[in-house]
Amino acid sequence: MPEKKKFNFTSSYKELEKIVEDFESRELDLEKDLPKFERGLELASKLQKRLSEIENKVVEIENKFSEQDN
Amino acid sequence: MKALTVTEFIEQINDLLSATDTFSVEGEVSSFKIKDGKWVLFDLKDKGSVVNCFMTAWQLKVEVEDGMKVIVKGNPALKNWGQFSFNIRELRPSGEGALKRAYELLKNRLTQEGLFDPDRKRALPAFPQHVALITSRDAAAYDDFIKVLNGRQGGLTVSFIHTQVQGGPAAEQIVNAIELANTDLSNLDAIVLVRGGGSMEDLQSFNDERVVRAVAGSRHPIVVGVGHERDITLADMAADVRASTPSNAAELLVKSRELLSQEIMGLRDRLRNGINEQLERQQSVLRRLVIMLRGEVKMMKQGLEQLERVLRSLSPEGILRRGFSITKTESGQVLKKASQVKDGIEIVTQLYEGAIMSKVTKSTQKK
Repeated sequence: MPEKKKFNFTSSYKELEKIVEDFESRELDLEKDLPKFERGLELASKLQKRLSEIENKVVEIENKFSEQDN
Repeated sequence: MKALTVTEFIEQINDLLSATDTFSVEGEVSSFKIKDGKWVLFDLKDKGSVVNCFMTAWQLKVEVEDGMKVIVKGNPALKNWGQFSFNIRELRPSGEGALKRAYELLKNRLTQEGLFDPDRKRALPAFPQHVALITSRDAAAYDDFIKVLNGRQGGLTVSFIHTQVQGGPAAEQIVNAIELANTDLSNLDAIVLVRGGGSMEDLQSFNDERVVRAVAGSRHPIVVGVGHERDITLADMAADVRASTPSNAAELLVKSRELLSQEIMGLRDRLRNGINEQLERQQSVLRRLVIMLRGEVKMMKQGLEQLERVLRSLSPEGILRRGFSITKTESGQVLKKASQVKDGIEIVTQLYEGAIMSKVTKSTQKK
């Protein structure tokens, strides 16, 4: 069973996409939108960091329903 | 010797027959029929002989039709009415031709059922993080898939379920593995079922109706990559995504690091552009404001200069400069009426530059 990841790639990517779409769809308020902008940059850098991971974890699961194995 | 009853005779013959090993017989099917959906009856023949065969529909895993060459396994028995019967437990098409025919028959039936309909296909999640891999641990397919996956992305969890990928128990093991992946693995994003290429007989498990139905019925999206480009099994056709090879399955499952990295950088640039545009817009507003303010200041300055000129022209000095003069008595009283002076007195007239002393000789009164 995989452990729960602290960083969720899918939701982070979607959040970044949403911020970009939001920014492109309206007039920005520099003061109010700055935290959102910073959040977007943080997400992008976390996503990039996640991409730099090399290894995939392989966990063997026993095919318990099969009586005959091998 | 006491004579046997007929029943006893048949029972004893059957005891003798059941003591034999299982027979494996190859022949051609004729007069094939399924009775009440439960019993399968046909004749197995060669050029010289025919034998009656019997099996349950449940044991029949492939499509069969008259003229098909098959290999059957089973034991002989004598029916109560004296007829000899070959009771079959296992039937498989024999040779590429028969396999192909069985494949075509099953394909047609499942196509009509709608199992391969394009609108049944689901898209894979954009960024799968947990995938179940079903194949043999000894197969090249396993290494190919993992190698290509590692080359494209890291950080994924691969729950690997080992099964045989050819031979008798393979189909059932694959069905069980799909079931296991669907029920036992949490946060699963997709299932991958792969196997390398082989002969039609090698790939038979992937044309097994049970496997095809398990693939079509998977709760999670499933990628099937069996064989080489040219091998299309029915499991491939039932998959949500069909990969041409095990390596291709990994390619279809995850985007490459490079591509994803470009996408993320693209999003970051768009984010920055938004803020930069806004900054530029605000700067230009500021510039405009400064220009307007400068104009305002200039106008105010001009107004002030004019006011100053007016004020200056209104001062006594200004009036004298324009040619007017002020006349006073000796005591300094400014003269505004002629009646203020008498003849003979001296008056002083002040001009812009200097003054004139004069004596009144005559004055006229305003009427």
